[in-house]
Amino acid sequence: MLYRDRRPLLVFLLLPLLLMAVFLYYPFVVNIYNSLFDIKGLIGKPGEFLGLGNFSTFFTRDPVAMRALRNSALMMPLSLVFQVGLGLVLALMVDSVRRGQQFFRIVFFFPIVISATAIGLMFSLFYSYEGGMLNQLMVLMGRDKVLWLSKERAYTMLVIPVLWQYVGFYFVILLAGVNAIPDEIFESAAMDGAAGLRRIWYITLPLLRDVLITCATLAVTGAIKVFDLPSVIARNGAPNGLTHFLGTYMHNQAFVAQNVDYGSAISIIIVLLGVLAAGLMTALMRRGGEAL
Amino acid sequence: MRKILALLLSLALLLSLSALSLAEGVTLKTVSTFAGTDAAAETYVALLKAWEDKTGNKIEDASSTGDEVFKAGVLNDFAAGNEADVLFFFAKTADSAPILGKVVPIEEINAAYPELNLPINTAIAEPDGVVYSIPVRPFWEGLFCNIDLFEQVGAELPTTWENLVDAIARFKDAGIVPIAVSFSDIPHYIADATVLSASSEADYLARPKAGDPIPQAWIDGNAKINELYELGAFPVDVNATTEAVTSQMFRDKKAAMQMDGSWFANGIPEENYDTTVVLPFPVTSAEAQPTAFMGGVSMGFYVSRKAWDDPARRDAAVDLLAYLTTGDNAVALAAFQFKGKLLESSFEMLNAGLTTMYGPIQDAMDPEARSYWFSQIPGIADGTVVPADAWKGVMELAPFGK
Repeated sequence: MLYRDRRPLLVFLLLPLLLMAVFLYYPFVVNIYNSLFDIKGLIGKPGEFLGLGNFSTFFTRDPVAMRALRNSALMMPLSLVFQVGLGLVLALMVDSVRRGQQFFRIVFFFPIVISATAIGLMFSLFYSYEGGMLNQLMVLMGRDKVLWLSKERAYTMLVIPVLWQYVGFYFVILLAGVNAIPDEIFESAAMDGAAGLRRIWYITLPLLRDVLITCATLAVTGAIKVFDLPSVIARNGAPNGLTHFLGTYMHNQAFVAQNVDYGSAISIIIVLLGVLAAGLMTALMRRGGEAL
Repeated sequence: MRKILALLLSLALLLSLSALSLAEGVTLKTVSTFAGTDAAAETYVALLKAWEDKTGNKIEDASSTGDEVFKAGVLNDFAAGNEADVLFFFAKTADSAPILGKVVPIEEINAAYPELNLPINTAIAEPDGVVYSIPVRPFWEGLFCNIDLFEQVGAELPTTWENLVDAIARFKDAGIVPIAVSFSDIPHYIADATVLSASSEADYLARPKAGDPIPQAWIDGNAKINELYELGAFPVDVNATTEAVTSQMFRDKKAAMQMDGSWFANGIPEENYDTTVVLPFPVTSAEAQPTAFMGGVSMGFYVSRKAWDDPARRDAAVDLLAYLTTGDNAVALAAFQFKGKLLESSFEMLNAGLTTMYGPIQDAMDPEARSYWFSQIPGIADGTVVPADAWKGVMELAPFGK
């Protein structure tokens, strides 16, 4: 037994638990309390008891909230397909490259280390109608300028940088997972005649199952929390509040409208949806993995 | 060896802590909007530095541009008990209402420090009749116009609604954006200006409680935003761009007009001082007053109750308040940097409208209702929201109390 006396370990576990309790769980409990009362202003005290009134408003009387919920919900499958999916494809391709793996790791991972604000400003400049990069290219090609953040296009144009930024993150995790699979297994599979897509389907993917579950869970929970890029590129859910996500709408209600109780309710909905989505994703992936 | 090293490090730590505790003076926290492009930003920093040198006290300043983030930050600090000791913040508005119990009335300061005799400006008195802050700078809002562009297209300045409509058509034909504005970012000025331009004095000053009818002029005024939109008065991406982009368009002479406040004048390039003027927004109804504009004092210096109740910091906080709000220092902070025709036209607007200057409606609104109103402006502009419905939604949130 390497650690016969486990009491020191308990101390090390209790300290972070205490920090989490103070800075995460306590505010969360206060948030639940705040969501049940009418609170006027950022430094207002809880007033009239509303019960679940804020939650009822969210689901039945607030069209912007419904739009934000829809936008965030749609972000989940998009993240799975374009972040984890593309990350997986890139990882499998780079794994088969004999030289230069490190180069691709750096290149694909690079967007992660750039601040979201910088990326947001960059894409704002791409999309700007007057003098934006995309419209300069359109003019160069002899085409009319395009309103990239029109009501019809804005969601797609916002989703592109959000998805693009995190492809490299999942790529690196998945590539590490692929690299960890022992070569002997692939050699045995090759001797049994498994190559190409068959090798990926029967060897790589089953052995990557746990990594894929982790990535999928991170992707769907991350999709619900999307905030930074949309808030920089499309202020206040521009245009016309159509591109609000749950995160941006929560921020708008809590800090701009100073509707603290409603903002608290939205943040609880975000957490509940995140837990639900993560649980669902794990269950689905495990069932799918067993079928493989 | 390790023990000696540990001993030395401990000694060094003890010495540094002793040195800190023996340091002279106190440290005050300050926050203001004298930052970024504000004309007095450098003056403010220099004044703080001079005060530090004079008193031996230290200042931790967290000033930033006075936008919604600034407001939220200050209010959050109050909520967390982390408020500044001396702050320059909004007054006589819905924004200042939550902090009034946590700042010290000027009269109370004068009672404890009669030798200071700090100015009590009733123009900035809160609804309870008490003056909690000392203003150093008035503000005004108006329609900024690039007169060289008006000359270029042969249009009259928009002193009337007809002139404005005519100018918009000419600018549109010339490929110049008539009015620079972003409804997704800062619709505040036009939202309020169109209401004022359609209202009589009584209508504009009405503050209907929940359930009371609102003046029809408010609805008619905001409806003009849609009329302007249909005329092509705004940038194509008015509902998706940012204020930074549209303001730059005006400064770069790619846009002819912009509705904004006196702080915007400070960012006008010096070479444009003689080609830029400011006017009241043109009226749209017979009841409205052509000289009316929005202005007044809406910000002032406060001392927080927290600093007041701390014997160690109280004297320093009051001294800093007096230092910043009296004599030459107050004059220096009040200064606007622009000159030329821009300055002259602002004086003309102020002189002509001395008796028709009103505080913006939005300043009296509950933040939730105000935010809702602004969120409806893009829809009002493109016709997807009916102004009457937007105002109905605003009134359901009891913008002026129940």
